[in-house]
Amino acid sequence: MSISRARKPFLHLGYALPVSESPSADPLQYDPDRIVAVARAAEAAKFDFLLFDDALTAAADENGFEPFTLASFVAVNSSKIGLVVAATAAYNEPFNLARLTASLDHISGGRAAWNVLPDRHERFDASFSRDAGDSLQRVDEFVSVVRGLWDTWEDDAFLRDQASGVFVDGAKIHRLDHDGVFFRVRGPLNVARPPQGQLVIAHRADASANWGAEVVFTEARGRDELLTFANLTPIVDTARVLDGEVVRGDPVQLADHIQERFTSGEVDGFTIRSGFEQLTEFTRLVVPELQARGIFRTEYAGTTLRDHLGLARPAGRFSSDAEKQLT
Amino acid sequence: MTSSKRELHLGLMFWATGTHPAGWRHPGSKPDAAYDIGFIQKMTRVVEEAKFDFLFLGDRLATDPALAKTNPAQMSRLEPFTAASAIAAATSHIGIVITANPTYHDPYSVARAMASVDHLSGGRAAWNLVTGADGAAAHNFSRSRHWDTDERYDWAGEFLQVVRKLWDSRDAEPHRFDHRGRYFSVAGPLDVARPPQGQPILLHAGTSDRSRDLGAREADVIFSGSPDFEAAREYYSDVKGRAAKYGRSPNELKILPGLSVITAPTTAEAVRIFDGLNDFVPLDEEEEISGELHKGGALGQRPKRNLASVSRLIGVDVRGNDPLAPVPASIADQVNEDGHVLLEHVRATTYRDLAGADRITYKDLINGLGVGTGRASLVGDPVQVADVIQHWFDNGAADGFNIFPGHVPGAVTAFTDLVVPELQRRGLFRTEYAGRTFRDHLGLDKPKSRF
Repeated sequence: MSISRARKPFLHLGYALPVSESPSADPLQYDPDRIVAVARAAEAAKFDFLLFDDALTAAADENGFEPFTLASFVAVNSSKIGLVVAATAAYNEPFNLARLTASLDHISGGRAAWNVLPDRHERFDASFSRDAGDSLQRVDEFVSVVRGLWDTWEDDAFLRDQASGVFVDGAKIHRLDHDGVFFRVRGPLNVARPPQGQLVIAHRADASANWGAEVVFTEARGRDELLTFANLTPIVDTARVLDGEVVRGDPVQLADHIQERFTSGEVDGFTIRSGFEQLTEFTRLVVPELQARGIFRTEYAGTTLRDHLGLARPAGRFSSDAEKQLT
Repeated sequence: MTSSKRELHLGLMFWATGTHPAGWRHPGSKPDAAYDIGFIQKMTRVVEEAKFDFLFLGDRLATDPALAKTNPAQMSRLEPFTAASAIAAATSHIGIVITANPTYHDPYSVARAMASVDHLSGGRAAWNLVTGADGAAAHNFSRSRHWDTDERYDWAGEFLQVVRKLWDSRDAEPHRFDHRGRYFSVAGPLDVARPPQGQPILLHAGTSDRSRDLGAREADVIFSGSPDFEAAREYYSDVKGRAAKYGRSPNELKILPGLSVITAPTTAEAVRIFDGLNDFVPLDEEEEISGELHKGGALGQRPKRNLASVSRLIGVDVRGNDPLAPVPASIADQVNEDGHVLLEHVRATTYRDLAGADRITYKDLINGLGVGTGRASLVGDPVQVADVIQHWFDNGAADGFNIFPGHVPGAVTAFTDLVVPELQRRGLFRTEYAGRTFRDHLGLDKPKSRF
């Protein structure tokens, strides 16, 4: 899916929920209402997405909600904002992960994305009865199986015709019959094709070209066809100070910093990483400034994450349209 | 939290388009309900307002287009953990039962997701531990074959011990442990704080010896598939007896048979709904009598809906008859044991008989196929339904029921509007929740942590 540089209309903004950042004593960590309030604040500010990190990739002794269950809870308490959920390929079965992701896309009405994590940690290898030593090749295969499973039900497989009694068109439900090095998965998935067709795939570094990613979280621009997001911790303050991801300044200075990096083509957007209070300051003071400059949306143009990111909805690999494309 | 009076417990077996194969065609049903989370939340609130103990999210790990005829509601659905979170967000008291099969999961993942839902719901999560009868699931998980019963239960037993340990492993401070067993090497603690219920509720279902044993030892609720009162009583006393051997008091373990209920203000209206649902399911072509009678179980398998299947079952060749013609009374002298069971079932669900004005037809016999292999099925007015529920509850066959609605929302609201008030009038069922957690509804205390 190539992104035309010329038509990029808007800067994109995500917010990384700091749910597993704090020590175990912090009661906010298990306060879903507070997290929903933050999600709604980000949605009111027209952010593209929330990022749900996965403590399974953290080396430190972090804890918090399991990300898919939390994202689902947030999904039904919001209506527009995207939900980017991190999940490791290392500690999952592709069939289970395909279900979780597809299901979240249905529950949210097409707002889910999967942030593919290739990481493994000794601590969690020990929690998942895993031997060390799989490779990036396993992750490649894992992602390809998940993406294949998403397509096993064609968009119009369900007829649900009460009058004739035809519930599905069996010809539009497909086996995947994947037989690879690491996985054998027959399919079909037991979830209908996700509203977005394929969920948006993101990854943290420009690691593999094989995952069909459309978003990359990185400090320097990734491959040209990827939407590039850099981390940013903006702190509204009186004096302008730059310190890595942390940028201090007044609202105009912060907007300048963001606009510069965006218009220069360095990035397509930012993942804001800050505490709840700083997020509120950012949405109250900096977002209106970005909107006034015409580089950030004042209304969502659509309802799905693909809409927000300007990404087209892919046809299914088993659909008759896809066959036409092949011949 | 101990109460002197025994209390009935009710759950809703939730398949979004109903448990009857034609439930989705019933007027007023919502054929796309499986993916409409707003509708699913609304149905959960309906049973929460009726003070049900729980909503039960069933699952299966393989699908096949052949299910369209037998169990269309089971072809596909939302994944249960994500669905449960979304339901929790819209409700405040009702327990939410998530089906997860250890054979195809990691203990750490199940412990983590279940603990997370318990936090999100304020202590209302439950795990329905199944080991899965669907052999086809193996092909979705890089396995060459589905394990046999012993292997699945050995694995599940250790799996559960690891999950229980993980749930206890992070309270005020993390407790490190290193489980090394036959199947799993798992280091704790969990990366989720100890769930509000301490240990989320455990459900189990099954009839095999291994299953009864696991349920008696570990489960808080057993969901059973007893087709009639006698079978239910045998099961009830067997499992409660086993629980006693494990040092558990009989009241710690609730046994809830599945129960299909079609009810309406009058018996005649209930029968009309039942007939209407069955009329939606087409009959199969007639065939030779030879061949095995499928009693169901495997994906998409069920007896063919024709008089050949009836003939095989009852031991009398009734092929060639008009399905709508009345069955002669003389058949009662010719049929085998299964035939008598079938006739009794047809009488009980249609209120028709072999004599009199309202006669049993051949089609009624076809509609009754499969009886004796699954759960009990009731058709009747609210008093008739409540009478059966009370009879089972008072006579050692059930602590409550897992209600199967043939069609949704109709069969759900009929039960909550008509039968629940009748049960409450009789003092059998709560009129208010006594607490906020699923443990509270079951009268179970929060267990102490093992650390």
